[in-house]
Amino acid sequence: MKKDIKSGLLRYGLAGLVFVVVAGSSVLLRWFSIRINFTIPVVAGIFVVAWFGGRKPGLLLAVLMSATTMYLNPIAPDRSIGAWAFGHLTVFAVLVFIVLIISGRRLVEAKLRESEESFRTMANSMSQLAWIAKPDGFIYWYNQRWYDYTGTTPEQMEGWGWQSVHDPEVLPLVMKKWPAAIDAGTEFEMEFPLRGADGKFLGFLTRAVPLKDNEGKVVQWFGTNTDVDQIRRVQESLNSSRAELKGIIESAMDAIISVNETEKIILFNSAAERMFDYPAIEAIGQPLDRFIPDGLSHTHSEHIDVFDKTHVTRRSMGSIGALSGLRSNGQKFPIEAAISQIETDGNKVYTVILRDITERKKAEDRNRQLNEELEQRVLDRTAKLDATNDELSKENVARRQAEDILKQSEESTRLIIDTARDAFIAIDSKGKILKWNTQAEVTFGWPQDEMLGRLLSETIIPPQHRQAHNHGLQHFRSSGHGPVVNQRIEITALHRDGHEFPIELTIWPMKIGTSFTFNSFIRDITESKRSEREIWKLNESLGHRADQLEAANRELEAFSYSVSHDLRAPLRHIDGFVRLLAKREAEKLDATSERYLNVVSGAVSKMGLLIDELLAFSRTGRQEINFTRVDLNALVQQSRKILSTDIGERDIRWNVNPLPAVKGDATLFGTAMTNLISNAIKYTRNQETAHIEIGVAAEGDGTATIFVRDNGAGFDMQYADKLFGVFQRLHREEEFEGIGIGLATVQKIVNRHGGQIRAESAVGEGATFYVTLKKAKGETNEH
Amino acid sequence: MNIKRMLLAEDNPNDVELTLAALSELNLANDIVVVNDGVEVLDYLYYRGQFVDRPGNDPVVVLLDLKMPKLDGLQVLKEMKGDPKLRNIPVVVLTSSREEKDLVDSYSLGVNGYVVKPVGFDPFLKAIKRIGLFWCLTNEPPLETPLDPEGVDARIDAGEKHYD
Repeated sequence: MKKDIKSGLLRYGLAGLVFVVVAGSSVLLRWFSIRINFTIPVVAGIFVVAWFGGRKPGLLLAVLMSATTMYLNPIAPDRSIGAWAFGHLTVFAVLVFIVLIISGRRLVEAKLRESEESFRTMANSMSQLAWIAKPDGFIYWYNQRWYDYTGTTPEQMEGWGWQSVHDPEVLPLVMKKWPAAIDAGTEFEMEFPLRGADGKFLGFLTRAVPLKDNEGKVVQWFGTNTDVDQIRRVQESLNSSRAELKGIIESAMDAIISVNETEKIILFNSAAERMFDYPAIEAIGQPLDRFIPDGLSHTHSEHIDVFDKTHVTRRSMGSIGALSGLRSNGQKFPIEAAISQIETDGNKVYTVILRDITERKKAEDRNRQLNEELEQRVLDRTAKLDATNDELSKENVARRQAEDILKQSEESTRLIIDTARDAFIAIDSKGKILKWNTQAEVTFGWPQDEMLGRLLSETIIPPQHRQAHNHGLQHFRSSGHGPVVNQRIEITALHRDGHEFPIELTIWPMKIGTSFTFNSFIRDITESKRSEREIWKLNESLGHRADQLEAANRELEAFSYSVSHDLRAPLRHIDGFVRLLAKREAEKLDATSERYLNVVSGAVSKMGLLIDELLAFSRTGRQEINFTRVDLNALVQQSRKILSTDIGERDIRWNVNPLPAVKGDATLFGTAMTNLISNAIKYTRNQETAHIEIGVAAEGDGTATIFVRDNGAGFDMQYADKLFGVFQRLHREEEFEGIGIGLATVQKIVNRHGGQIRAESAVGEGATFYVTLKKAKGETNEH
Repeated sequence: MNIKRMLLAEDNPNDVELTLAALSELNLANDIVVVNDGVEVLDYLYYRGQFVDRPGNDPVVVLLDLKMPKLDGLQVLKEMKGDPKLRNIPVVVLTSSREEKDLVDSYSLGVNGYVVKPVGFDPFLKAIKRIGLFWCLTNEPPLETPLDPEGVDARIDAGEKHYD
C-alpha cells in the first residue's frame, strides 16, 4: 500500500515535472519574445509520462498541455472561435490518443514482467530445473537449481549454451525437436539426459510451454526439467526397505504366518518353522488348520464386521483366547495369537503372530497354585493358632516347623516371580505396591526398594488412567468384582524416564485373610506392536507382488503357447520350401548353392531345437511341484536307460553308490538326474575309458549332498559362475554339441526345491557336481 | 467302390502346400479335400453351405489343425465326437505344438491320433507319408452311418432279411 502511494506520487510528480519544464520554458522563451514550435517537446513529454507514469498522469499532462497552449495561443482576430476551438480540440485528442496507446502498451509489458516474475519465484522454489526463453528460443534466465545441478554459470548457459550439458548423442534429436516446437509455437515435451556437476548424466523429462499474446504470437517460453531418475531411485530404496522388512520377519522371535482369503498359508517365517517343526517350503499352500486345529474361525465373523468398516483390523496377543498349536509330531501346545487383516486390491490377507506360551502357562499355574496353598496354610495356621492359644508353649516346635514350610513356600514363589520373563507386580486393595520383581525393574526403570509401599497410581499408571484405576479398586473393594480382572488387557504405562509405552497384562485377585491383593504379569509390547505395523506394511507389498507375479505368469503362459505354435510354423515352411526348391532346381544348382540351402536347413533345425529347449526350460520353472518321497537310486537307473543310446559302444566304467531317498518332485528330479548324467557322458567322450562316479558326499541333519563325478574335459573354475546360466557354454559347439540349457534346468529344479548345486573342476581333469537336497522323512544316515 | 478321401483342415496355405507336396509323392494328393477353418470342416461333414452337393461318403480320416479361425480344432473335435453320426470318423490332430494341455484335451475328447508336425522337412515328409499310407491304404474305415434316419432303417431291414 505504501509502495502504491509512493509510486503514485512519483508518477504524478513526473507529469508535473515534465509540465513545468515544457510549459515553463515555453513561457520563459515567450518572455524574451522567442517563439518556437513546441510540438516536439510536448509530444516527447507525453510519451515519457505515459510510458513511465501510466495512463492517469499522462491524461493529466495532456489536459494541462492543451490548456497551456490555449492560454498561450488565444483567438487571433482574423479567425473564428469555432476554428480556434477545433484546432485545439484536435491537438488535445491527438495527445489523449498518444497517452492511451503508450500506457496500454506499457500495461502489457508490465503484465508480461509480472507473469515472468511469478514464474521465476515459483521456479526458484520448486525442485525441478526451470528456465525462460525468448520467442526465438534464446534462453535468458535459469533458476538456481539449474546452475546448482549442472555446475555452470549464467554466462556459459545464456542463449543456446545449454547444449554443453547435453549428451552429444542425444543432442541432435533435441536440436531437431526443440526448434520445430519453436517454429510451430506448440508445447514441447521430451525426455533426455543432462550432465550434472559431478559429470554423471541423469534422465530429465523436459516440458516447455509457450506464453502467447492476444494475437496468438509467442511472447515467451517457460520450461521445466524434471528428474525422472529420481523416481527410479525411490523405487530402489523401496525395494531395499522391503528386503529389510523381510529380514525383520525372518528374525522375529514370534512365529508369523500369513494366510490368504481361502486360509491357505502364503507366509511362514523361520520362527514358525521352529515352533511347528515344519519347513516353510511345505507349509506354504497348506490350510492354517493344519497348524492351529481349533481354527480362528470363531473370531472371524466378528472380525470381518470391523474389517468392512475400517479395512484394517487387528487383535492383539492373547485377546483371541486360548488356542493350541499342533507340531508336526502331533504334540499340542498352548499359543497366544495376534491377528491382523488387511485388504489390498480386493484381496484379504490375514497375518497371525503366534507365541508358544507353554512355559509361561506353567509358571502362572504354579504360581497360582503356590499362592493358594500359601493362603490355605495361612488360614489353617491362623485357625490353629487361635484354637491352641493356650497351648502355645507346648507347640513351639510345631510352629517353627510350620513357619519353615511357610518360608519355603514363600521362597519358591519369590523365585518363580523373580525369574519370570514378564514383570510381576502385586498391590494391595488400596493400590500400594507389595511385590516388584526384577523384570519389573527392567520394564519400568524403577528399582524394587524405591517402589515397595508406593501407590501404583503415583508411579507407573499414566495420569489419564489414574482416576479409572482408583475407581476400579474402590468398586472391587465394595463389590468383589471388577471388569478388568482375570483377563488380558492392553493399556499404556509410564516409564521412570517419563515415556509412555504399550503393555499387556493380566490381573488376578487373591483373598488373603479378609483383604485382597491383586497380582499381575505385565509385558512390554512396544516391539510386538512395531512388528505388527511392519507386517501390515509387508502384507500390502506382498499383495502387490503376488498380483504382479500372477500377471507375469499369465503373460508367460500365453507367450510360450504362442511361441510353440506360431514360431515353429514359419520355420517348417522355410525348410519345406527350401527343400522343394532344391529338388525342383536340382540340375541347375551348383555345389555352393546346394551348400547354402543346406546351411539354411541346418539353421532352421537348430532354431527348432532352441525353441523346444527353451519351452521345456520355462516349463520346469512353472510346473507345480508334487512333493513325494523320491528314490534317487531308481532315478539313476532310469536315466542310464534313457541315455543308453548316447553311450553306444563307448567304454564307460560306472561306480554308482547307494543314494538316500529325498523329498521332492519325481519327474523334475528325473530330468535333473538325466541332465547331470548326460553331461558326464558327453564331456568324457574324448577319454579312452570314461569314469563316472555317483555317490553321497555329505549328509547333514535332514539334508544330503550327492555328487556326480566324471573324468572328462572339465572346465576352468574362473568361469564357474557362467556354468548354470541359460545358453551359457564353456566349450565351443564344434567340441561338444548342445545349446547350454541342461545345467540351467538342473539348477532351476534344485533351487525350486530349496536345494543347492555347485561344481568343482579343472581343465582336463574332469568335473564334479554337488547337489544338496532335503532327505525324505524317516531317512537315516545309513543306507 | 467309393474313393477313399482324406479331409485336411488347415488354414495356412504354406502348410497346405507342403502337406500336398508330401502326399503327391505317394500319388495320394488327388484324394484329399482341403478346408480352411473349423466351420468348413463341419459344413463338409454335414453337407452344408458350399458342400451341399458334395459327392460321396465320409472321409477316411480328418487331419485337423488346432489353431484355426472361427471354430478351432478342439471345438470341431468336440462337435464330431459328440455327434453319433460323426463319432466314428477317425480324426488325427496335426499341430505345430506339443503343448501338454492340447494333448490331454484332444485325447479326452476322443481323438484317434495326435501328430506334432516336425520342423525339418524330411521328418515332416516322413510323418505325412506315414499318415497317408496308414489311413488310406492300411486302415479299414468304419462302416458308413447314413445321415438320414430312413437309411438307417433300410440297413437294419436288410440285416434282418439276411438273418432270415
